[in-house]
Amino acid sequence: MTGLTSAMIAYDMDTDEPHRATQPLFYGYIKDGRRGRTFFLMTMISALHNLSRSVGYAILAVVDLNLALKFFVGEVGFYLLYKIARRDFYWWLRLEGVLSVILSLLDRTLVKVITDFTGCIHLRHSLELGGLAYSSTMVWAQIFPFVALGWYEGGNKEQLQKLLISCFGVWLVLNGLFFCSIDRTFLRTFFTRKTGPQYICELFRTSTLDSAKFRTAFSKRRSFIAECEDEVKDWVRVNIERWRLEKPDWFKIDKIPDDILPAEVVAEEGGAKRRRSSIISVRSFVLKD
Amino acid sequence: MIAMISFNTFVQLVAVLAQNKKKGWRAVLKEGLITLLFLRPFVDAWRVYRKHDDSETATDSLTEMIVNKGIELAAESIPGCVLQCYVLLLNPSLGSSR
Repeated sequence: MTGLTSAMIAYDMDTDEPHRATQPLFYGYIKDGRRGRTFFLMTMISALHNLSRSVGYAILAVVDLNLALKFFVGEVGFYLLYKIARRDFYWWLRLEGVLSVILSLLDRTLVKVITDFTGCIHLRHSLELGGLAYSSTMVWAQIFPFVALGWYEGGNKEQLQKLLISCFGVWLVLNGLFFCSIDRTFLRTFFTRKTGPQYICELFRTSTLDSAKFRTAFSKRRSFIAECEDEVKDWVRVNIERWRLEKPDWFKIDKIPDDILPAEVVAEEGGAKRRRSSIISVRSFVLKD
Repeated sequence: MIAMISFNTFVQLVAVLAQNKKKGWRAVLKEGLITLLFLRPFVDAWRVYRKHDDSETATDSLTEMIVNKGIELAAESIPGCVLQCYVLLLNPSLGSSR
């Protein structure tokens, strides 16, 4: 069931047409004629990954519950430090203040746990783990149960060893079949070092549709476009009058921050009192209601 | 197991808060009730199927469903798997018919 849910997450995201249209550099690795086979392989890979990893943690817990806890805290802590060091700790949702820290911490921890235990392929996205961190996590997750077995002294150690070796062997074969069945131009997404903000700026620069550019620039955390803010400002300045006349569905002027809009447009929209699509914070939530 | 289910529900309630903040308390209460009654997977799947579009929510319905599935995995399914393996290792006789 865990493997199925993990595969379903990756499958649903990758085959969703709007995602493929707006992020063609990331979504689309599942080939149209091979959807069933790829889904089956993803389910089996996740299930086996989950089995060996769960057995590994169970072994550690039997040896010493504190040791299992230390491993867990160590793994998650190391990952959080890695994200902080790369200035990629905050999640992409447009939140602010304490809520953004709490939800980012929660997201980063939960995503790390899901990747560790299921290898959910979608989570290699730069807005989540990132390609290189994802692949490193996969390798460590396969080594980990054997490390845990080294401490184990129970009577069924040999049986466990056979189980883990079998799991690893089948997992390896299934991964080979999986990589043969997907579109190989997406292999780089499994090893990319891009952070969330770097990915968003790249997506903004490479998108050809205005709707995709708008969504990329204004549906994520403001700090994500810091690196390409001047380009976003120029693009808005050049197109804003046309959008206001044509009023396309995707154009929501309240999503554009004041300092990105030209000053005269801010004034026409009501100045400091203009309606804004906001970022969410605990304070604003309490004050509003 | 009860602790895992409770943690899952709690995290999903936090997600409801973030998702529906702009819609106010009434929407948060309604969505919170859906979560508390364990109807979240059905409602999410229905909204994705109907291509439900609500410009006031923080994310689209597909992302909301994926986030909730992720929370279920991390807070309930995965700890459940580890617990089952742990119990089987402590009591190997549970896994055999002898």
